[in-house]
Amino acid sequence: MTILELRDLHVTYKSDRGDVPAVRGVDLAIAAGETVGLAGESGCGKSTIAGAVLRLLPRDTIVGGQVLLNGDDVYELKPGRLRAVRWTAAAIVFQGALHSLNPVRRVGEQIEEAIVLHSDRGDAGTHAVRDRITGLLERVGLRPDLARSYPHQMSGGQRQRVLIALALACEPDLLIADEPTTALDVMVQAQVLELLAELQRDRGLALLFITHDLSVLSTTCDRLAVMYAGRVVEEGRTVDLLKTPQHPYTRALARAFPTIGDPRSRMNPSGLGGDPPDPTHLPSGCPFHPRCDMAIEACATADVLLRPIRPDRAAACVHVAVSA
Amino acid sequence: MSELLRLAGVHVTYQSSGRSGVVRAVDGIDLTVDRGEVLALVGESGCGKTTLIRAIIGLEPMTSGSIVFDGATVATGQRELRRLRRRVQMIFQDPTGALNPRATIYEAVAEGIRIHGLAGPEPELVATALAQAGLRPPERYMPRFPHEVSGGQRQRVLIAGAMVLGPQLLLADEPVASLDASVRGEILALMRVLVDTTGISIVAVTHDLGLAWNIADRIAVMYLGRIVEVGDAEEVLADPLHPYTKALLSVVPEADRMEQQILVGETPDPANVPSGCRFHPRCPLVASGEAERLGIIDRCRSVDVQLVASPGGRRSVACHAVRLPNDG
Repeated sequence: MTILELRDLHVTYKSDRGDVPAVRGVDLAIAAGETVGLAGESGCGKSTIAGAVLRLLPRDTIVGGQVLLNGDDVYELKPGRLRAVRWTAAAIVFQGALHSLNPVRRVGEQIEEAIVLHSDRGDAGTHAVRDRITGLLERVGLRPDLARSYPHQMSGGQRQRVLIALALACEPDLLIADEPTTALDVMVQAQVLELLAELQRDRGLALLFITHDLSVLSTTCDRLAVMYAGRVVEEGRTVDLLKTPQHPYTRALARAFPTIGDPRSRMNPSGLGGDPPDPTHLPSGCPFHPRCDMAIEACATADVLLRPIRPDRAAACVHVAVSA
Repeated sequence: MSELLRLAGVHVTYQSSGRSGVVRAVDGIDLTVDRGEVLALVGESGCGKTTLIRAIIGLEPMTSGSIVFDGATVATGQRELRRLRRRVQMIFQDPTGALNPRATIYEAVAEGIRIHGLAGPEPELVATALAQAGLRPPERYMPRFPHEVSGGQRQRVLIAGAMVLGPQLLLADEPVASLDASVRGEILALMRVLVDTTGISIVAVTHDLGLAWNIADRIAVMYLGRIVEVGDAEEVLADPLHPYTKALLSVVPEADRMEQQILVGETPDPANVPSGCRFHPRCPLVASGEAERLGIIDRCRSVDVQLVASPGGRRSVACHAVRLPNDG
């Protein structure tokens, strides 16, 4: 069953410098029990998509296309219904747990607030709600008595777990994790990733995993979509996509994460020259062509959209042969 | 290769205001760095790796131990430290925070020249350093402000500001942790080129074992204020001997190479160092019963374990369960 579907999503921010087209036509679908990774550099539009799904973007932002959550168009919802959809249909775990939690309230109270405001699971202070908080904390591997702690009394890993507990408070069908482990240490990152995988197995959650770290996505996701300049430039099954990247950008991104033990990357770090494009001044033609080592003359003028290569695989590059 | 830096018995302790009293952030480190070498110092947050490199340039006071740099013991007087800091430069994780937002890139690089009273035409020194750090043509970058360039370019500015003083040692604290993957490789390549072309040495503090694989000659693994394993990067990463190194390597997210050993909890508190081997409460050998089978469990719990070098001296490990192979 499809939980989330983006249809030709466009997001344009308003700024002093004019319109900033952050997302320029993205189609994406996530089924129940599926993990989809959204990869790309800073500014490619991946976090904007997270905000767009739950209408968390600035009020004057122009959103085009459709965001369907369990079949409902999120942008057609009445305010009351929207509030119900947030947290119960989809919830977000952000990076930087310290900023997402209220520093002057105990974490238990913050989880309670989410339960009381967004679901019909009982009123504040009742046993039902307290049991639910205990259950949530245990679910994410925290001691229930930590409910009485303030965020600053916890470690980074514990706070990230609290955010996951919060996101699960109303049993959403979709969890959006935006760089959930970027601020964490390797060992704690492994713990959080394991937790997310477990939750997904047990609850059949649909998971949209957003990060610049392709190596994290490689171990967690069924499918990957790689974004560049507001568009998906390649998508496919994770293993397939990482083993045989078709778009030159995916290839460069994959090479940037060395496999320890691989002689090709030993004493040979690999990056990608140049900077991500400024969304207000996108290059002509294929937006990647100024940084592309395979660019030909046509790339400077002809924009290439995502094209299917074979079932479950598509890329937006002039060098890619289109499937019949 | 000749030795540039030698740390012997370095301790950094703090008096804590809490119940526990003494915080042993760096708890007895012996380590050498050769000329023209990249050493990766890896470990989790709170293991003392940043404190250690800050102690090298006197930003953290050593409680005991000695540092020999370029053949001379480092004194702790202000004047001596200033001389040292020209020859030992530091770059940080967050280039945005490390740069003054109101100073141009030219000013950022020239500041060190002025502080250390370097001889020579300032504009040329700045231009050369910027070009060396890959900001070419340098004239284009000089008048810009930090916010006008990308994160990767800001890190290059910091590297230029360090290199302009002609240092012998660069201390890099998580130099690429805040950068995008594409930029990461570029900065690492630059660091390796600087080492190979100028003969400078780099100590890179990181939790990223991929960085070590990409650019480091040697690797030292720290746990709770101590080095638990040190050796050639390739050997340590291909064949880790300490159970902590093994665990760290197992959680590097890449398409499932080995079974993950996810350690529970976070790095324990340096104000409350466990007895015996400080790693034993989290050690997979202890948890699995392997230490018991080997008949070493009592020593794991009660005998503090020191780094033991292989006969050839190229590899050292601090673990009761490890017998080092002879490396000639």
